Amino acid sequence: MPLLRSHDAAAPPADERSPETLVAALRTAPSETARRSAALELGAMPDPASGVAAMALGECLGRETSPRVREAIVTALVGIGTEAAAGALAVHLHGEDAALRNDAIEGLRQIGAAAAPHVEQLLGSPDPDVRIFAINVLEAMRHASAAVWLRRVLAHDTEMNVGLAAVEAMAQVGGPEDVPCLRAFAARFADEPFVAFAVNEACRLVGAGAAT
Amino acid sequence: MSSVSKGTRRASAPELPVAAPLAISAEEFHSLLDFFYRKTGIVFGDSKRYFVDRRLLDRMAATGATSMRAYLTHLKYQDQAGLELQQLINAMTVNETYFYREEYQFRCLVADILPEIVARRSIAERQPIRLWSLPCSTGEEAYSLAMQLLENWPDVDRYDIKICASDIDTGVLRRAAAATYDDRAVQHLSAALKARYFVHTDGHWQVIPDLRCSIDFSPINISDRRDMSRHDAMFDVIFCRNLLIYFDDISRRQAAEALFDALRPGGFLCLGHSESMSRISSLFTVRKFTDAIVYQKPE
Amino acid sequence: MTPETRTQNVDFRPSVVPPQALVVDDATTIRLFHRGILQAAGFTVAEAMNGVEGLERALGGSTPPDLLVVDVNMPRMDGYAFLRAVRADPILRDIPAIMISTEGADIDAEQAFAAGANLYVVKPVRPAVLARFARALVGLPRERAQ
Repeated sequence: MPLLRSHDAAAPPADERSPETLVAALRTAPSETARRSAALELGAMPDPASGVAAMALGECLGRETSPRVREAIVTALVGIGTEAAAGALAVHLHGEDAALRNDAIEGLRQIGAAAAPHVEQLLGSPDPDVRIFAINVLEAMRHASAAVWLRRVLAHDTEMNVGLAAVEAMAQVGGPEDVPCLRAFAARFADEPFVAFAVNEACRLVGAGAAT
Repeated sequence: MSSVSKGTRRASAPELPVAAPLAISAEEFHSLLDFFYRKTGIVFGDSKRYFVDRRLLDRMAATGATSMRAYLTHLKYQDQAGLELQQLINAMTVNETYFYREEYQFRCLVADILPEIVARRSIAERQPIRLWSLPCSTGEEAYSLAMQLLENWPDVDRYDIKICASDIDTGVLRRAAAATYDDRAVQHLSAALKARYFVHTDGHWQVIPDLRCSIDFSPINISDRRDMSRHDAMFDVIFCRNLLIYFDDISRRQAAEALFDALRPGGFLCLGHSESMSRISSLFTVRKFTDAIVYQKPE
Repeated sequence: MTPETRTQNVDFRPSVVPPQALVVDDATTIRLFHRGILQAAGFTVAEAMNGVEGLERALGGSTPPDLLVVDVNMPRMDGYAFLRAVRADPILRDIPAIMISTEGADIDAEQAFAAGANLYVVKPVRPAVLARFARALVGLPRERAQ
């Protein structure tokens, strides 16, 4: 019978590499597999090495060309999950690389509450796209201030697409008390069919009952 | 991924005491379905309304929520560690195990996956073809893989094949090694298969010794990097069905990395039929075959 | 019949099955909005939240979709990566695709076309525009004014 009886392979030694060795590997190892391994190991570093790890991971994220290594870097940062790790991701929301931005947004969502200070800062960016990305993160965070920040955007942001991102986010995190704010936003862009649609949908989902 | 449907239901939580039925409005229902879809990728069609309603009412009773709105509020804003979401996922996904469960993937294995794997192997390749059943639970999947290869893969005698089966629960591993099952577990097997691979005594079916010994059972914690890294680039095919759906986002992401690393380049990963990498990771290439969509590690 | 009468009265598509559009967008309200527009324009509509799910839905049905309506910014696999994967796939490669984004600069349209889009539209889309483009891309005749 060709199905082999088993003999366990000897377990290879545990990874004993120091943070410095791992960072060097992440920066310079020629193979994707080696850089992935270094990134994931850095993500598992206990404190205080995790602070150093977060910085190095963030720095490499911007320069790394392999999408699979980038994925591992983001996984590592999410695993570290500190405000510093969130900061390492947040800087990439300003960049030109759409794929990197989207990876960073996803990572920030998964970090959750620790990313909140960075998200709040990004919501104040002069760049409307950055404000949209910040809202995209906010939408998936269970954060106590989320609705408050979104209300502020709906009331004051001059860019329609930023407001629309906030409408979508509010549909996920808002409650019936957010309906007046949503309606007020719709009134600001009364000529746009999608705005009316989106606000009606959001009001429905947050529990206002039938759209008016 | 289509809506959850298959498999017999395990005996569920006790019936709710009959009282005035808690009303779930259409908006609340859709809000919950959208939330569930965003988190899991699982869609419930209108035909599943009754199925979903019952489970929602169960979870509302279990959490003490007096209304659907209260339950939604808890689920969306208060459930910081995702524990209630996990309970809801457990309730909404059917989790029976039996031989040849989700059979279409076994067909795909011999019709498409293995032919690609052997086509890619060099003549000089000395390593066996390795398959991994993870989690293996009480072993039905691993033994099903073995039977499928022996029965339905024309090239089974041309290659050395190793089937590994692992689980975090050493209790189920012992039961898997003992390989003794009841009628329900073998109900989808033909009489011929049962006659060939089982010994039937006292109402139990035990897998024959040759097949039992051909599976390599071992404990594993998929979330333990040390544990998983022992298997770097070892496997040609991994069956990881109906495990990731029970993880939170971070653990799921880390598990996807570990599964990726455990595969040989070009290796294949099969998830459960209502699971999708779309909520987990973009490491894998989506591959469409006649019988199944599976995931592949790039070469 | 005169040629004019033919084009006004006859649907050139050989099948009576309505064309299927796949809407790929991570925003629920946008998917709903586009679903409504496309259904009114004569399509059945399937949805996906990101590029990976988009590939799974496009490949997983009994027949591939007839039209793709794709957002740029999505987690997991963005619109550009999704379209590149579609154009590389033997089953999906010829499906027409409309890419939708908030970015209005030329460079973004160029990126969309390089990835494999047939048309590029800035959001929020005008319903009549999306409907017209969608019908044109699958070869449906222009709808007469109501």
